[in-house]
Amino acid sequence: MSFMKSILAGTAAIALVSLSGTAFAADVAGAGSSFIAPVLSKWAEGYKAATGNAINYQSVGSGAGIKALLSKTVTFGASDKPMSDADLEKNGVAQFPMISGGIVVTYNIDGVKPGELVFDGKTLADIFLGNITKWNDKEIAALNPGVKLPDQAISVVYRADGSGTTFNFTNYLSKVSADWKSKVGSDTTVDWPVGFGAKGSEGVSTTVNQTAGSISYVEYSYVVANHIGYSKMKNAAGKVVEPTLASFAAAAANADWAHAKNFNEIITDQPGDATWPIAASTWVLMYKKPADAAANADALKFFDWAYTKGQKDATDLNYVAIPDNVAKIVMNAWKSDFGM
Amino acid sequence: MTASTDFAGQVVPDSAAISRRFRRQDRLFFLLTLGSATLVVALLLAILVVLAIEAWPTFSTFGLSFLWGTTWSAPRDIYGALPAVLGTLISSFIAMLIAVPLSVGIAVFLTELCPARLRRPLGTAIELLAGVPSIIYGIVGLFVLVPLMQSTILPVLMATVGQLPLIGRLFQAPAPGIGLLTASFVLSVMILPFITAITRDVFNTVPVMLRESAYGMGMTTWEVVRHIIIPYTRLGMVGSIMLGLGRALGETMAVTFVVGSVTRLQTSIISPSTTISAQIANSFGDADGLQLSSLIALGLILFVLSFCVLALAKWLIGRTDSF
Amino acid sequence: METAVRSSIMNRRYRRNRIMMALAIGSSALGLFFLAVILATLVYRGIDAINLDVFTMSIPAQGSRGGLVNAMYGTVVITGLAMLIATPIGILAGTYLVEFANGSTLAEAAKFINDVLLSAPSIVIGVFIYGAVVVPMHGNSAIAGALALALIALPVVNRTTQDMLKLVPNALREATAALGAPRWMSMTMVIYRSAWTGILTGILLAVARISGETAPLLFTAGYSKFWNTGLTGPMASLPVAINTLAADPGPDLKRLAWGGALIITVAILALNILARSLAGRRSS
Repeated sequence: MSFMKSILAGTAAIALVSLSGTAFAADVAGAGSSFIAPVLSKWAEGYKAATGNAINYQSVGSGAGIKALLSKTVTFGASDKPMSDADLEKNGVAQFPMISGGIVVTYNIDGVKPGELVFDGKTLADIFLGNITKWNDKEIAALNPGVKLPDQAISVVYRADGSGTTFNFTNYLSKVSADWKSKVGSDTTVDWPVGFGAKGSEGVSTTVNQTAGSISYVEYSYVVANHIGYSKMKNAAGKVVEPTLASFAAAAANADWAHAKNFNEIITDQPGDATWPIAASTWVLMYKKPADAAANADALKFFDWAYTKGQKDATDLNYVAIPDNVAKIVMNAWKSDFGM
Repeated sequence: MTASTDFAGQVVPDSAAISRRFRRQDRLFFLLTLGSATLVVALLLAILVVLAIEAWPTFSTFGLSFLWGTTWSAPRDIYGALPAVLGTLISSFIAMLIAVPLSVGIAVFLTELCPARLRRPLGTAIELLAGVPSIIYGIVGLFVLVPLMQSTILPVLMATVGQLPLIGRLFQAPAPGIGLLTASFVLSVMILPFITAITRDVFNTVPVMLRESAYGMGMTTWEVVRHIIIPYTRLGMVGSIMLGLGRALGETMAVTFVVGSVTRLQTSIISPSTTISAQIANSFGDADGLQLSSLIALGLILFVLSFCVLALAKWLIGRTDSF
Repeated sequence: METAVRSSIMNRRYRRNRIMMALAIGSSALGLFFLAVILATLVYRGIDAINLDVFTMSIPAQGSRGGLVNAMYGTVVITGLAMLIATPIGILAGTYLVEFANGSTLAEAAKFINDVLLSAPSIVIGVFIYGAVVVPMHGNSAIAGALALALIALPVVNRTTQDMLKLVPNALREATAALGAPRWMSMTMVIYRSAWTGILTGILLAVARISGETAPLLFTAGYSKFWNTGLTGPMASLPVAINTLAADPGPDLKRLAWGGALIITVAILALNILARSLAGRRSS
């Protein structure tokens, strides 16, 4: 019967192909944060053109990146939530910051233009807690004199999937609202008191666009790409700031990287007049004593290249590169952490 | 005597040798099929055992109350399965309610009414719906169906069905368009080709003699379908429905885009909600410890659910039939 | 009087027939409408991305030139490998359950278990293969992806084989047995051949199902924006690429994601039509 014969022939053919296929030993695999994925992908392209070495990065989410590292299926993990000192110690892993950026509150309100609204931390927490349910609430109105707020119900939209963006956003809310901290807390997914979820930042942007009266939070680049409503924020210094690369950079610059053990410095609600309050970083995590030392060394070469040659790519894609002085501290730490 | 010659003088091996060889080959063929069947069973058992081991911490922490717990909170490390389980059951049920009649309708059209020349292209077109990746259903659902639900379908439902006594409550809620009913609609389109393809194939197996005799007795097309074709192909149809239901219960990507991922218990089927697979897809990447274990426990519950659904179907068909 | 009653019954029967047939036609129209909406959306959003680069270059970063050729290659290799594993096992298992053990308690249990496996959420299958293959192998690989997809295709092929073999009239089996043909010869030369169209439908449904799967590949085959051919390394596939690119803030990559969606859907359409016409030629 030709049907069975063709299956057998096909099996044989595939067996041959798989024998002739070669795995690239020089390739480095990484996985994790979707926040860093666009710029990491850009860097990988430039690095491959410059050196011929490929970096395979899979954007699966911060927690999944850490899990992949710990199960030793990748050389490096990337996470928007730093690993605790104890966990780093226990697993023999070191981490360092790779990029920073901003998280922006986005909305779709009848008659309110992008960039018109101002929020502060407490109001934001009250909205996401469900204490404020209408856009013309006096707490919002007090922050926005002169803006005509409609009598419209607020639809809270959040990230349905586990996300470092959610971690940093809820970390900010926990810092500015004791109520939020005790009732909800901060993690990559939380038990939201109100609202509904959309998948990924792209899903959030689309849903906000489609839903009148909605509010949510996304990475800055999605606001730029999708031209959706964004708010200004009142920061810890009491100043109203616009979401710009400069205000994100201020948050990163005002963070005390030099003294933060294991670079564990979450840059939400940082001091400084120009500081954007909901800024975020992504850390790269690697084993100090990996099974494949050559792969580790290749990965560090890539990150070295990214620190020194990748700043322009970062700015082009609306990220804030790690400042040169911090990059120097990181590369110094590599000597003791990885023996490089 | 070891060999003989046939009429043309060709040497023919003796029949005992042939039958020995045949028996050996048959034995091999039998073992191959037996091995394959055993492998399928072993695989499922392996999956179940792995899931059960991984899910154990959840059941030892929450006990059976995990099943009716309604909270899912990673920061507080409390997990309950009820909203996701209900979401899965309800969305699959609604999807079947829509897809089965549609599929049977299409199969009737394709086998009884459609001009012969159009049969294959139309059948293939419907089958193509099965080839659309579930992620596409998710994206198209989000971009096309959700706005339509929000602007038209849900307001109409709320104004009509929502005013009925008893079931009206199910259709009354703030409705952002994303929600369980939207997910059910997407699911129904996704399982439609699976049910249709097999239903059509089994409809085609009805002997022409039977069909033509029925027509010859003056039965209308509907009566032939109702009294001849459907009874004759009942078992195959149940098989196709199971295939569709299986897909609906476990469908992940498409549902994740449009269901809304609300882990609280909802009173309305138009509200944002969640399903087991959406819950797993959303949280699996980032989960560890007890949350990971609870997600795997959800996966285990899904297996048990499909087990129960299948057992129910088997019982409905009756003990004498096998499907 | 009697004629009047009869004609009123006839009228009712015809009226009911007309209503039901109208519903059948309406169902078909609705099915085609769904397909049209999906295809129109894909063409509308994806056609701009279709150019020569898509078929010749690997996945780009935001703002760079590139295509999807590595993901297309990955989908073909991973799906093909999965079907090569699942098809023979599925057909043989279905054969055992219907031809050798039909009716026995054990076979009924095995059929039941297969149906349970059918509804296994694909993401759980991915999780299982992740633990069983990816972790021991220390890395994502095309092989792991193929195994995950094979596990999804296997119960589909098994189930359809069972259904189709059951429809083969027993007279055919008896006739071949009477000719003195051994069981395997009767199966391969007569029984499979008569059930071929149905089994092929099952295989196609399985291909259609797995070639578009995202969830089970995320943690198994992984992803790479580069041209990788090694089966033991991470390999992109179209659905995972679509998933990744659609989530990127870059509008150029989002367009490419829609282009990929259009390509995979059209490819599966072409595959369907091709296989159908092949099967049609054989069966007639």
